[in-house]
Amino acid sequence: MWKNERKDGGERRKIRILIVEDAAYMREMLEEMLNQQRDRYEIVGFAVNGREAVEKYKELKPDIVTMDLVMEVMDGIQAIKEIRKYDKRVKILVITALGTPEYEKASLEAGADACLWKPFTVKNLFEVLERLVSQDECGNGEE
Amino acid sequence: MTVWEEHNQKGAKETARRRSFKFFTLLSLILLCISISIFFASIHKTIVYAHFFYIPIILAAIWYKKRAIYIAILLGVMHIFSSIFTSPALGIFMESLGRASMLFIVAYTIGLISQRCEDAREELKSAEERYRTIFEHALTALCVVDAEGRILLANRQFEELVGLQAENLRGRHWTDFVAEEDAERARNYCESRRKGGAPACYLFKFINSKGERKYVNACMEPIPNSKECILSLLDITELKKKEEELRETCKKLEELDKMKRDFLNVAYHEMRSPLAPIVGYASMLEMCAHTEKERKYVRSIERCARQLEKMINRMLELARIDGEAVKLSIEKASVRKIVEQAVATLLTEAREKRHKISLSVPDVEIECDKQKILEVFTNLISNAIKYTEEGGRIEVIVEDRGEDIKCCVADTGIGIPKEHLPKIFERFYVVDTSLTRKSGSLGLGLSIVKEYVRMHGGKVWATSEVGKGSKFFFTLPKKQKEKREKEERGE
Repeated sequence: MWKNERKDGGERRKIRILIVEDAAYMREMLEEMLNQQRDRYEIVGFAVNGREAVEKYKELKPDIVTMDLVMEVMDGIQAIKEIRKYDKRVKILVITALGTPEYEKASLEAGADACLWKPFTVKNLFEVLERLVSQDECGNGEE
Repeated sequence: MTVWEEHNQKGAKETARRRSFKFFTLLSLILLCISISIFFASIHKTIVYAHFFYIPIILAAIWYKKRAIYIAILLGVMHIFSSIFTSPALGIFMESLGRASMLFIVAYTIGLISQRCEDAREELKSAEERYRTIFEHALTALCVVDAEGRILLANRQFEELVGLQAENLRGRHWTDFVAEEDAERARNYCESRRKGGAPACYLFKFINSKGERKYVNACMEPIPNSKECILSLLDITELKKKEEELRETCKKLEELDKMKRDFLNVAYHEMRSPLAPIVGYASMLEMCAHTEKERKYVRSIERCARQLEKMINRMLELARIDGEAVKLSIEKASVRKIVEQAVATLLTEAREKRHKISLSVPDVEIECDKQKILEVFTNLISNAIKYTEEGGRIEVIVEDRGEDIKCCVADTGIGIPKEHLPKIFERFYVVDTSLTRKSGSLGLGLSIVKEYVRMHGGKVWATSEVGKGSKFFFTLPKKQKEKREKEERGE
């Protein structure tokens, strides 16, 4: 998917990420972390609850959505299901403190691609993002 | 006085009257017979009129049973003597003797029959008294009803249940005391039992004479060869009340359990959330730290945050094990690889304290939840490292015993006093709670070890000597039961 898009100076285009997180300090931290590799990752928007996540998704069409689970208005599981109705290919990474097997199973069944439990290091975050990106590159090839 | 006591008193007076009547009647008859016999003998000089004596003999036999033989003997002797006086001839004497013998035989036979009848009557009376006592003193409320369901007889318990005396109950229909909503069901039940329906107990609401509502278990049994039925009622009002209270308590406990689970999920989430920016920013700081000192400060922040995270995880894990929310994910795993992985994660700590770790682990595979067994080894080896002074020795020994494996983590550490050994696997149990203790432990690691081993069907125990070291043992079956059962079923 990403290979055939427009390129900047012959380089691969940036991976566009939508951050869905209700806690401001977590949004800031994720932004700081992703800015460590700003040549690779680009934050296209933020959402503070599940409903806003779905709307922003439709508007921005990101490559990856990081999704918190515990949010007001609409929780993360419901938001994942809603996004999956529109797009089966977007990568959804659940980032939550609810690190139990039950929530992992519920997230994956709803349509998430991976889970990252809080607390995590910047290294943990990039490892899982790269795994998601490489899955897509290996799986899809050219459109 | 109950109906039965009244009956007994009347019976005793009646018996005394009958006895007097019998005695005087018999005496009168005997005297009459003697008089007639003597009169006719004196006139006709024969003993033909001895046949009169059969009348008093038969009566005596019926009334006095075997004792009548004495009366027969007496009359027989009198008959013989009377014949001697009337006619001294031998033939007449012999005839008299024969007739006297006949008297004895008749008396004896009738007496025997009469005795048997009396014995049977006594037995019947005794049986009747026995069942009367059982009926009267049964702990269940009992009553006998006729074909229409009207009460004929009731015991004390029934009177207490209804709140009325027996004489006020006779003639009333037992379903009069059944609550309106159950009345039809009660009538249908009676009908079905009379027609030979299957025996069953029937629960209905009962309203006694004071208007109190009770729950009663009823059982109706038709009496053989009779149109009457015996109705047995068990007051289960108290039981029902307790059942209701128990149901309420269970409901409250379920609600509390749900509250506890919800609380734990919320607490787990809320306690881990602030750790995220601590660990996250610490990792970013480490990347942009300029000096070794800065990196050291940052690593310290991260290590302590991870320690806190581990404690929170352990608390939640134990709570989830209690709530049976933890399931094993069974797979075939190499014990050696698990042990090596555990040691690898703790190598830095071991090196900091200059400990020597040796492994003696055979190449054996077992069915287990790999993550959980890894945590078991990690906890035990971590404890060994922590509680052994610098330059100590830690051994991990695994023995293949065929059906299971026996694992041992031994150290040359500070040891555990004997009085603490039985309790060290309990939750929150810390051997040293003094101010001089080695801090950093909530006392949950060994509880988790025990639970995980127990879930696999194994056992865990420890031996120790203060100042010399400790040995922690646990066993694990090679095959897990569920899988084994499925294999047996061919799944």
